This record gives sequence, structure tokens and C-alpha cells, in this order.
Amino acid sequence: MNQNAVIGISFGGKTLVAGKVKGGRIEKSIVRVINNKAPENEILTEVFNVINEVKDDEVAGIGIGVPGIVDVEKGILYDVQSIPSWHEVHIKEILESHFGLKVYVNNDANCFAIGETYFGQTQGYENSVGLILGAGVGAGIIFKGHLYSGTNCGAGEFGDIAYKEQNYEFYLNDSFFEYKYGVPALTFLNRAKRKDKIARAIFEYYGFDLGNLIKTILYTVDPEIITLGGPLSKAFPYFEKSMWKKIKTFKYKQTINKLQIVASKQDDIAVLGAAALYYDAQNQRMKK
Amino acid sequence: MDKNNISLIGVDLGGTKVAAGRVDNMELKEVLHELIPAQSEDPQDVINSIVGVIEKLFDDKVKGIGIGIPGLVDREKGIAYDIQNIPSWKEVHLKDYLEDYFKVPVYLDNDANCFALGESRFGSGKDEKDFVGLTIGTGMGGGIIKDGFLIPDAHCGSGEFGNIMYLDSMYEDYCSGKFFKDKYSTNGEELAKAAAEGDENALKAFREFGVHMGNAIKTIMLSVDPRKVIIGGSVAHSKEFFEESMWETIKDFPFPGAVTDFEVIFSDVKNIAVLGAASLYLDRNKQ
Repeated sequence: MNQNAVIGISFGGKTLVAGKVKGGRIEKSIVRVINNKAPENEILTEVFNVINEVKDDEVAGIGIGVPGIVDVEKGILYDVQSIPSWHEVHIKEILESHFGLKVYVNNDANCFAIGETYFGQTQGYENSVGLILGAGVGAGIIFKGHLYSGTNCGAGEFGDIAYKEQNYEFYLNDSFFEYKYGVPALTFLNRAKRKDKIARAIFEYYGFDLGNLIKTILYTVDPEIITLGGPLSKAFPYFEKSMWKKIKTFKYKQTINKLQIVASKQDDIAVLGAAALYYDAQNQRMKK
Repeated sequence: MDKNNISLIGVDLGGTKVAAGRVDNMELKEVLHELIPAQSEDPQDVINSIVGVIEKLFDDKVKGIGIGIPGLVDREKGIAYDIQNIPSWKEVHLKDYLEDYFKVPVYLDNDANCFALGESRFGSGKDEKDFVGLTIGTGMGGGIIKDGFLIPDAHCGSGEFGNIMYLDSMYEDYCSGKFFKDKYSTNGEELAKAAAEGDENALKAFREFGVHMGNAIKTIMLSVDPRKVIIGGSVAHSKEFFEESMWETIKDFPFPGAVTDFEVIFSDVKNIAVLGAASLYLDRNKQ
């Protein structure tokens, strides 16, 4: 594994997190609360600032994960969901010319998947999917240990696939609980921990819908292991059984016999995953 | 080795018959079709039919054999698992058996993957490195090509878009010949004839088919995000009747930017499954 020190940056709502990653560990990190409604340049300045605060001479590159559409090759961010002023930001070009370091950008789900491959649950597996269950429902796909982003960085957007009356994301994102039952997902999670029967039943239903999504993932990209991340992955013990009940109806038994589904154990995976973009790019280049 | 100077055999195993072809210097020289004893209790009977048909095309110039299997495959070990239309095939170590017999490398893959690979090497995908090949006939299957090669998934099971849940069942029931059979009690060919004569009911059937195809293609875009989808099979000949409603459906894709340079291409190359199977040799040897 590439042992260069790399800065990983993740955007989430109103927070900007930067960490210096070395040897699979975050050596130092900074969490900055930003005004996500600020103009484009003001937020870019914040990015410069956090990089400067964790950067030292060892750092060889920068990886960035954002919730939105990315032109991976050119390193352009389009319509970043949490930052209204960022319609088209050429962040790779801007940061590379300023810092003189290699910069890699991808969406947050792809960072999660490659992060788990380098530092988490899918280490040592060739074909995996990292599925985020949170405000959105999206995934990153790994083939032969490398990130598969698709043509427009749009691969793994399983949440947008039509399902029942809506799409998978509608039933599996965290605001669905509030919408459907008038109670936030995290409240149900705490109640489920306390063996509340209603909360347990609600997560059982959640598992059925999730199982159907996982079958769709198996039919499309056929991984050997799936890691669940995001806030709802914490409810794994409460939806695991019903999820598997649905998955067991999959057409190919061989696939199911070997399939593993796990919950992420890395709380810092967003920053680690962003840093892993650098390692993935270096290792892919070496292969070619 | 130069692929323009090589002899290969491609085999397409179906539920009732087997087709095998000899490809010399990237040109299909001869194709044979034979029935197989699919319902026989002994798995060896179907293996013997495969050996028989290969033998008729084989000589010492042949460098490799590729086989498309209608089901799940362990690519590395060359094992076919639980083939629905051949009940005795629970776990067949076909690669080992054939390599022992013919003394050349043998490669197995899923038949829909072979279709995509065939399009990539011999069809409309020749100039395209990243696409999904979708084969539509009595069923619907697909394969994913990335950087000019089949995607290295876990069990050759990727691209099975036809099995994805859709409406009250799955895409295959709405995006293959099954749709015309179940909903209109006819087949695509008859319906195309009627549509060509302006039959309103037939035109409506194709418009509906196009909407379902559009939804299937959106699912493909959301899951693997290819540059193109190449659709093969006889459905290509009636595209004029469903292309419009298909594109109308695709156009409301949640990420509009992704649609602008996206293409759907119809292709109908003869013997594409056999050609794709023969290409497995090139695919595995990274040629």
C-alpha cells in the first residue's frame, strides 16, 4: 500500500473536515463549521484554510469527497448539494495550481467505498459495494480493488432507481421516518436499542426495502461484499434479519451463499475515503 | 500473439441447443448448430454434445475455446452452476474437462456477457470502450464493458438487468418478447408487421414497450453509468415504433447532464453470441 501522507477532505452539510492521513491513520484533523450559503470564493477560501492547517512537508496529495456530481477526470464539481453557490467549481485545477500537489475529487459515496477498501471492512476483497444510507442513498462500486465511477461519475446511484410508488431513496433515506411516522430516524434507533417493539417493527420493514435494493445491486454489479454506511447503518442489527429474508429470494444461490453484508466500523471513513482517492489513482496508474 | 493471425472456437450453449463457430483471423468461418439432451439426468450427456460439436471445428491451429453459459459461472475455475434449462447441471467443471480433452485454454462466461463482448469485438461497440450490451429476445440480459474488456465481477452475474424488480414483476417481463406475449398475446414480429400497416393497437403496444425500455435504460444509467447502451436482437428491426417513447422516458433522468452525450444504439449482428464466446480468449489475455 502507498504510504505517502495525503490530505482527505469531506463536505457534509455545514461542516468541512480535513485530515492528514498517513499509514491508514488520521494524524491530525480539523472540523470547520462553514456558512454553506456563502458565495463561491468565500467557501473556497475556507478550503484553502483547512488544508493549510493540516498540511506539512510530507503531504503528497489531496483527495476530496463531495455530495454531488463530479467530473472525475477534470476535477470539476457540479451543483454541490449542500453548497448552493457551487454550480461549477474547477477545484482540482484551483488547488493543484495553488498547492502544487496532485488533487483527486469524487462523490462521497465513491469515497466511502474506496475508503472501506483501503482502511475498512472490504480490505482484501476485490469486488465490493459501499452503500450509504443517510440523507441520500447512493453507493460506490469497486472492481478488482479499484473504484468504478462510470462515465459521468454517476455509477452506483441506486437510490434513484424506481421502486414502489417512488424510488429506493424515498423509502430508505433518513427523513422517510419523519415523513411516514412523524418521528426522526435516530429516535427510532434509540427506541429500538431499548427493545421498543414498534421501533423494531419499523426497522424490520426497512430491511425488506433494503433487501430489495441489495438484490438490484447484485443483479447489476455482482459484488462479493457490501458495506453499509451512513447514520442508518447503525440500525443494522434491527434490519439485518428481514433484509436477508428478501435477499434469499435472489435467483442465483451461489451468489447468496458467498455474499457478505456488513456495517461500517470506521467513523472517520469520509476523510479516510477522500484520502484513499489518491492511493487508488496512484495504484491504477502503476497497473497501466 | 496477433489477434489477426489466430484461430479460436466460440460456443454458445442454450437451453435446447448448442451453437459453435470457428473464428480464423477475426473472421467467422463456419457455424454449427446442434440439439442437446438438456433434460437428460446425466450431466455428462450435454458435455458430450459440446465436445462433439467442438471436435468438428477443432484442429491443431486452434489456440483457445470460449463458451457462453446461460447462467452463473465461476470465471477463474471455469465452473457452471445451477443452469435452469439443463436441470442436471448443478456444478459442472467444464473448463477442467475440456482443457483436459482438447489441450488448449478454455474460458467460460455468462452468455449475456458474451453478447456484450461480441459487440465490443465484432459489432457496434468496436470503437467504444465503455458500454452496456443489452440482448433482448425471449428474455433480457446484459453485459458491461469497461476499457474495452468485460468487467471483472464476482460471479459473472453483473448486468442481469432483466431480473431487477419493476412494476408488479421484473424488467424482463416488460422489455422482452414476454411483454408482447403476455399483454398482447402475439409476438414482436407479428406486431411489427401490424404496426407497419398502421394498426393502432400494435403502435400502442410498441409505445408502451418503449416506455418500459426507457425505464430499464434509466436503471442501467443509474447503476453503471455507461457512455452507450447497445441493444441487440431482432427488436432492432422495430425500433422505429418504440424509439420515440423510449427517449421521452429517458429524458426525465434525474441528472440531465448525463443524458446529453448518452447514446442508445441498435445492433443485429449474426452469430454475435458465438463471436463473443470466441472473443473470451482475447478478453482474458488482455488483447
